[in-house]
Amino acid sequence: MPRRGLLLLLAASAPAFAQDAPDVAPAPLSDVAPAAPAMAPVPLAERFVWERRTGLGRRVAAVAVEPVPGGAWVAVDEQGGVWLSEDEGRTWDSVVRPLGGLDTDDLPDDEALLLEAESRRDEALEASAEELEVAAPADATEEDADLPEAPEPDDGALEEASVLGADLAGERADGGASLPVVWAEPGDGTRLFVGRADGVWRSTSAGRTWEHLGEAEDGAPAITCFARAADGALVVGTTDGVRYSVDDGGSFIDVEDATDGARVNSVVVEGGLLWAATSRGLFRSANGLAWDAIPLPDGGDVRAIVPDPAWDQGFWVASRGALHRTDDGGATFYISGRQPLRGLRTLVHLDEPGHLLATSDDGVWESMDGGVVWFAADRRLAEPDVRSLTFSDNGPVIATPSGVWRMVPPRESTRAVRAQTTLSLSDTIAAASQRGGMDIDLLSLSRAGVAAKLMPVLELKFDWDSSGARRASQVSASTTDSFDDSWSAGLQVCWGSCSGVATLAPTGEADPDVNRELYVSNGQVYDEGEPVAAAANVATTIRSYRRYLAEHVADAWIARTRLVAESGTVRSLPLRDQVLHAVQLQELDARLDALTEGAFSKALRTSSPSEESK
Amino acid sequence: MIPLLLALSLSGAASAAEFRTVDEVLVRFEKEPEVRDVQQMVLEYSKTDPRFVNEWLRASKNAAWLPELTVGYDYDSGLDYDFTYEITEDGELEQSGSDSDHGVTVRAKWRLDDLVMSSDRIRVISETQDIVKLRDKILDETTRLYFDRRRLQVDMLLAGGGDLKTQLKNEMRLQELTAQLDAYTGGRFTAALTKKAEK
Repeated sequence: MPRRGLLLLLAASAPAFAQDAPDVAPAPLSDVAPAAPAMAPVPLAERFVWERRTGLGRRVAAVAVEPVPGGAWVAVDEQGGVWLSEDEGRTWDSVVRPLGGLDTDDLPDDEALLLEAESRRDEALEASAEELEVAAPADATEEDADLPEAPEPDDGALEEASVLGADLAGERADGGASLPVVWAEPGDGTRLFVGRADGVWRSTSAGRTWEHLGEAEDGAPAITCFARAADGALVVGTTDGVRYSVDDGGSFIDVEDATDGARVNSVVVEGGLLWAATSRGLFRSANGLAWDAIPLPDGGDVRAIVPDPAWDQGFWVASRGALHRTDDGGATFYISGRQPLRGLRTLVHLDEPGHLLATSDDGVWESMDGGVVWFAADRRLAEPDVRSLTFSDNGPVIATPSGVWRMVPPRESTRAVRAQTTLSLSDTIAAASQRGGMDIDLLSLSRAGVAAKLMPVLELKFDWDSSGARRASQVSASTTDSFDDSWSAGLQVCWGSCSGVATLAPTGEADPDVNRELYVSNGQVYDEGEPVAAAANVATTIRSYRRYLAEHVADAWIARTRLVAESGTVRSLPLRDQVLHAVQLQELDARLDALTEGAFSKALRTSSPSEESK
Repeated sequence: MIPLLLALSLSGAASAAEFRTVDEVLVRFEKEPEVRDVQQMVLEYSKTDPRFVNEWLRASKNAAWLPELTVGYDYDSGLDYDFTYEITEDGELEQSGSDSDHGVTVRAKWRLDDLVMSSDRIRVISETQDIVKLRDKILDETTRLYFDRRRLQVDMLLAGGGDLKTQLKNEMRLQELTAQLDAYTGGRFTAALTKKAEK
């Protein structure tokens, strides 16, 4: 992921908040921006699938990634526990204990275990020989001694969180309104902040050690997001407006301003100004202390703000019912899209103009045209409730209640490859070798020669004769007539050359069959009465061609299998390479079809669709 | 000329930016014959269709059930006169006779060894084997030509037009591949291109 996209994402990433947005009707065409930015080449949805990172068997509230190459991942669970992974989510270490500590209630629930088991099963099916090092969920009891001491369960703080959650009518039932948040500050990559019910925690060591910056006051609103103002102050969004800190989170200034009473969903720095997306609309501030409401065509609950790096002073503002766009730094707004994104939480801009990614409680959505058209980017994502989105070196990373997920190129499992190549290699070779003209069973061919020698020549014969004679004598003046009719039927069986055979028929005699023809087969001259020698010659030729055919079919079959296995990685290649890959696959199918008289494609058609094609 | 026009329309009507997915590219060729259609055209033109081979093999086996049939008819007609000659000058007819014989012969002969193995069948198998080899060879060649042509089309579609020389070179190569496919199909390939394009 390009650096620019990553930084913008971090600046714009919003923590979890929850308000269900009702579906809205599409806007009239006149309301929609007519010209969409140029399209990016290939959507993420077509190049990647989601993969759950095993090892963190807890309900995750948010995740952040240290914004440096190979940066550590930091996740915060629903109870505020902070977890660190330095191997891209494979294993996790607890670095800040959750409020109330780890106990048996914090163990992974059945659903999480099931998801983890499925994930491990899928990994085991991967064709690649990557070694599985699936770590068990971190055993917090072994690490308690090294963890920063979290205060004992603070009834007040927890109650406050509960009250806040209850106050936000229409929020998610799972208490998402007060879920902890984590923010990796763009810059040196070592500074991270966590906001939870007991206040702000800060790490200046890339998440390895944490300090508690101060106990939250009773009745303090929950922290919803962080941002860094141009003057270096830390700006924090809460469920009751914006707070301002000049000592990097040690204390907060709560100035009475226009955002009071509003839930702040996101704070973004753009054009030297601070912009706040709140439940009461869009606000702008030059210093983080005084805020001005900015009217929108379809205002109300504003969920996210995303600067457009491709357009100076351009950015998008996502409200409950529409996606707004400004090209002049917020002086004017127009609606760039009205496709409903239910429960939108995060909106980020990726590396190509107009390429947007949104997370919501209805999954991950992607737009290639500046938000006019959205499509789901949720292949293999088993959990639609996406609470936060960030980016690692290798692509998007999201937090859901069931864990942390990342986007990876799909690797075909052996099962998927099998499904796409239902005719095994041996069956394919057999189909090629048993075509008409090639389907001689060599063993029975030699047996047939012996059997033919034992088979007789059978002849049925039927004769009928009729003769008549008349005799006239002039001496005796008499005439004598005589007539004679006769017939005979016979069956003749003979072996070999049929000379000197026994005759079973009452009449007739053997007819030696000595007038056989000669013929040429495969360059040899044969007596037609001696087919065995010719058959042996033909069998030798067929055997030789079969060997060639087996090699030819195997080459094509293996090449095709490799291509299918590479299908996942090919999706990250340029479109031309993807097309040529598809054409090559078609060519191999056609070659195998030609050699098997269509049996290969027929097997493919009758097989069940593979997982990838679903 | 038609292939040239089709090729020009393919390369000129689209730009790479129009496409986002593989399917969007490949659908541009849906008005062309599929490779299986082309393979069938080759089989028909070369008379190497597997159906022919299978029929020959079947016929060579079943032929042994038919007997070698011989039907004969004989007819003999005879007339004889007996004369007795005395010392006298003229002979005297003493006796005369005539004969008439009819004979019919029917023979049916089965070589039961031909049901198992016959020289005819061996010869047919040998010939069909040659047909299979020929079929494999020409199908392999036409499949290669078909997809060489398709790859060229994809390149022309996605890589842009290039300079005039490159465009002409690509067009000539496309025509050459089309002509080679026509040679293997007896012109059926271009005919199918035209037919599909008109739909």
